[in-house]
Amino acid sequence: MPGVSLRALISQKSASMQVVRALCGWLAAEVCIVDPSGKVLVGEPPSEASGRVARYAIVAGESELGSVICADERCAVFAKLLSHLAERESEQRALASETLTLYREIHLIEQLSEELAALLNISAISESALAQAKRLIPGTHGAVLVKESTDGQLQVTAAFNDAAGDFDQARLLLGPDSPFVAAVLERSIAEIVNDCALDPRIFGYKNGLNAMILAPLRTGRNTVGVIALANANGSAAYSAANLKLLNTIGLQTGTAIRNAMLCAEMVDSAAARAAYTAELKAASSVQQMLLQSASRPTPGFHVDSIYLPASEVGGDFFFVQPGPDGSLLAIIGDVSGKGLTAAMRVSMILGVLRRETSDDPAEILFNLNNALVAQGQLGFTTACSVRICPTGEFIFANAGHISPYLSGVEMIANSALPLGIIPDQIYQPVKGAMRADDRIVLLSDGVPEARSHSNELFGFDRLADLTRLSAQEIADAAQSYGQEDDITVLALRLAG
Amino acid sequence: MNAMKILIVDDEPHLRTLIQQALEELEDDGVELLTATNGEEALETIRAEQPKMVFLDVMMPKKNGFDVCHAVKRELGMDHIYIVLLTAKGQEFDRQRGNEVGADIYMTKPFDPDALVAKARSVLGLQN
Repeated sequence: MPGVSLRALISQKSASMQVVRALCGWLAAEVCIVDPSGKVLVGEPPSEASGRVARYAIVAGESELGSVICADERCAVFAKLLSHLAERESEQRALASETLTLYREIHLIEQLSEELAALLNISAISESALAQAKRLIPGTHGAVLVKESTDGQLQVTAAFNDAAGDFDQARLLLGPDSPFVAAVLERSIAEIVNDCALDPRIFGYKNGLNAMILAPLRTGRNTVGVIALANANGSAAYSAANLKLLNTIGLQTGTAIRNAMLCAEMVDSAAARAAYTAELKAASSVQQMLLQSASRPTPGFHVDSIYLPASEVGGDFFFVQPGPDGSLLAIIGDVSGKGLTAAMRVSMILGVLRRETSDDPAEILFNLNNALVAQGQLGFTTACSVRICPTGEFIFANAGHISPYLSGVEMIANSALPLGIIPDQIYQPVKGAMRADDRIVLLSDGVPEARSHSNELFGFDRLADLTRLSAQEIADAAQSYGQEDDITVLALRLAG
Repeated sequence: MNAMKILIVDDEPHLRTLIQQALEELEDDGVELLTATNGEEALETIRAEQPKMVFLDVMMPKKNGFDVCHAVKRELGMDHIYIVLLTAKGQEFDRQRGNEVGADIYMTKPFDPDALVAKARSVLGLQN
């Protein structure tokens, strides 16, 4: 029971003092009130003339606060009344003390909430939570342990040790290998261990701690860690109120830590996206350069080319170069897949074509197919290769690519598998001849597979007429219709 | 003016007790805690005792905290008395009104006992 002093109880301004004065007047006797040391607080010690003096104790709970000294036996009632007033005062103080504790808890919890709301760093959150827990709940040791988001391993993110001496053993009970921590983490329920030495989980293990209290750091159904306090003092014991408080702190901390983890993931993810975007841009520059260098001047021919990748890097490619006999060799193709993987395959294909010594379209496809199969890469590549002589005679071979068009007429080749699927695939050549005003158009599937807002494909029906236009006009028509894939158009004609 | 007096004004006995008990540790530093149960009694005590600091409830019979504060700061010329307005509301309007009548700070109930003591120590120039 909180201490109450007789001096305060009967101070000059107190209500009790008015009662004391009234009673003294009513008794009309010499009355004296003294504290336990005998110091007179009210009145004067009765004189010998007043008769046999008795001493009546004023008691509150177990404590004697002082005495009423008087020769009148009625003072026994006076002492009882003062004892009663002291008891009442003591109860009021106890209630006030409890209320102040609650006020303090409310403010510390509010303060913790505000602090946690402003923090996105797991260590700072842990430090803040542990500091507030320590203010609210007594403890000589404490720790916050958080599961790593990558491997689930527990890490100590905050700790304190206010006890004198070496407490390595105690730290074991507050560390990642503690059986208490493991139990709270597994069951996600707070726990009090008020006699550590007798707990069967560590029976016989000297740890220097007398009591422990642990709560899970929960967020929804996930438990991201544990907050624990321990006390090395001999008489220490934790209460249900302590458990509720620590649980509240655990819930707030768990949510804050989960938010911090999500935020860190978002930052990492944004950084990875930025890095990937930068890589794509770099790859795009390299690819544009490679494609430009893949086309060499071809005297005697007009070559009109357009390349519009759907994203930074594309999976289409083309290759144009003059033959030793004044002919023109052109290859157009499309690798499966998107992004950097497709771009790397395009680079590899352009490298193979540059080293190619044959000028036979079917043989070129045969060699390119074997090179791709040898690479062992996943996916496939479609390609169409054509060689045009200065006389207008031409020969082409097709590996699963869209057929070329001769002045608006589709040129059908024998069907064959795309490149990169099976080795030693034979591609049958097809021969033909073009007049001076004819035009051979090679294009990628980005043209017929352009898709409108109403989800309608551009399709092959309109393609034949479209191929009578320039490469730029063909590409523009497909792009404005709704580009879905890379668009590549090569338009070839004799210069003479 | 007695530099070591604090007046606690609240019509609710339990709140007076709470504030008193929260500030009790200051008695060890020689601080005297006075109490008043309404606005009029508060003004009488302030005139007579001239405390250095007043914890003043807003909603009180006879004379409310705003009126007491206004009287102390503007009418009695005791601007040096540090007045903490205590209210169970937390409305911005009340806060503005508190500023208008010259209150030094405005605290809401339930108050933070540690903040109460810290503020008193600071105003009285006592060490924490």
